[in-house]
Amino acid sequence: MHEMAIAQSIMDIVQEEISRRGIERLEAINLVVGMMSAVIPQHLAFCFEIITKDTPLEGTALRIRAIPLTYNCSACEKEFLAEEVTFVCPDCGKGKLELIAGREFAVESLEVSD
Amino acid sequence: MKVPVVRNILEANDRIAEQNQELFAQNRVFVLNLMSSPGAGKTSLLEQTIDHLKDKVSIGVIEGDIASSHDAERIAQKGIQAVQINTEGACHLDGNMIRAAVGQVDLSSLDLLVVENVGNLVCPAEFNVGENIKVMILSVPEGDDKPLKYPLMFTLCKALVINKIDLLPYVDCSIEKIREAATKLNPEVVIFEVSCKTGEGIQKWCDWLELQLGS
Repeated sequence: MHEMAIAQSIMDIVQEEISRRGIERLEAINLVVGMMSAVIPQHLAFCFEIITKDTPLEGTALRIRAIPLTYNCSACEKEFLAEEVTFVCPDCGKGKLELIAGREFAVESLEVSD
Repeated sequence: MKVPVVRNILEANDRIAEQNQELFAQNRVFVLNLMSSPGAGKTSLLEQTIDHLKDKVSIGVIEGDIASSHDAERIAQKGIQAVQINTEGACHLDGNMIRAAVGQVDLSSLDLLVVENVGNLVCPAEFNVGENIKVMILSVPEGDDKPLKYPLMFTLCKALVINKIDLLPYVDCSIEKIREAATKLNPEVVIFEVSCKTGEGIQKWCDWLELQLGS
């Protein structure tokens, strides 16, 4: 439900970047969203579409790259990817897990028309 | 052509939260961001905490709700400074809302400011408001599966208060399961078992909170 506030933040960041860089036409905005983030990509895309209506960003695509959860196991010192939150290392079944990726939430890059 | 940018989407909020934090530090106020589902007992825990600490600690409260000033009135009855924020539908408090509300509080007279967030286990976890610590409440009727379903909030909180333990005989909820899952998500989390109804466990929670203020 906070996707609208986030869509607004994305719009602010992108507008600032395009005016600073003198970009005239934007094709797409690339986001990275960690799977631990409480954001639903479809909702975000929908809110972005509404909020950019009648602005220079209208019709700009929002491309979302989901970052899977990556854990590091303190017992076997291996890293592994997980589709959802887990507590158990699939290799050794022991150890404390540290989440090392999956909380990303950033505008990564802009696709500019040549 | 791809132009790299790499900017955190929540940076604007984080920046305001940092400014709030500076303001709180200048006034030597300790700020607690209190989060839970609707009805888990945030206002009840606050009332109990105020009763236990108000002779020793000067407390102020910012109440966040989608609508109504019901909670701020409950707190004001205790003789405590309380400001109500109505988010008009938004599911969380953010740094900007707190910045606006802080103007209505005499910060210099406070030791502790509690921000009672909108009842929600998802969104409030994403938005810092400038707090020193996040504390969450889980009440036993909600069930012991909640740490698995809402991992982010459990991961970020410094303390977890398990409320309504007086209802344990009537609900299918294992405190052990909550403890196990919460500790796996967040090995440092401090867990309290309380009943705001009977007062059980409240003293322990208040003792811990008082220690946080001093540190």
